[in-house]
Amino acid sequence: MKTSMKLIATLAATAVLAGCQTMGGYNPGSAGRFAQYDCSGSAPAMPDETTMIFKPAKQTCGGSTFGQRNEIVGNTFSQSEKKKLVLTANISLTAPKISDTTLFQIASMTEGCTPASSFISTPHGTYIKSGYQMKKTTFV
Amino acid sequence: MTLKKNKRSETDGRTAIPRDGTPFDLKVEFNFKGKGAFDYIVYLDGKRIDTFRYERPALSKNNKEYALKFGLYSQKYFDYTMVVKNFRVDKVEKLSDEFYATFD
Repeated sequence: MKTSMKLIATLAATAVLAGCQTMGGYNPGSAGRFAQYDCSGSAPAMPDETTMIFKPAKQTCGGSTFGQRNEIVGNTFSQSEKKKLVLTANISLTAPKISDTTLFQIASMTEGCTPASSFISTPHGTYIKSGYQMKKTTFV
Repeated sequence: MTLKKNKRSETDGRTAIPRDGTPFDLKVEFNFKGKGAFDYIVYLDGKRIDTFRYERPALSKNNKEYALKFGLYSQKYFDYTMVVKNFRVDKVEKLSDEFYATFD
């Protein structure tokens, strides 16, 4: 547990950066609005070996800031691979000003930068299109 | 239950996630079936809240990998704090009986 979490944390920022740079600069959230998408963001703070704290971190895209990104990336594997995974976590979220129009995804399965399916997020139905499915999970 | 590809189950509705700091348990079961296809079920506090079957039209030409991401991404900047404890992703041989009952 300790080792895997440290590995994820270590790889997080560089994995996001490297993975998206090799994508050729497609930003799924903006349907290609940015020609260059460097995906800079932050990895969560880890006060101890079992806790991660995610806070706002501005994302830089093509030299300008765009929204926020603070995430870890792990389990990159081939699309042709067959495997079974179980993700578990205990989450405490404090976010007083989220609106239903804000794209706020907690977890997703992506193809490079392109979400294949985001399974915990705020409503964002207008982004549903081939290969990109957003869920209608709401926050109270 | 038979799910149409790239469609959520009609039995899964909008689900409220507490954002007042109340902790909840998240669990997601995945079955990656090769050729870019996968099924999953999302549970909150042990209750199923979402079900999904994803099938690609074809394997990507440029991107032949999936990456599981966990964290926050938003097009808008706003204040939040998300504390995550005991995060794990485990490879397993068998998923829950509910999973197979849902997707078989």
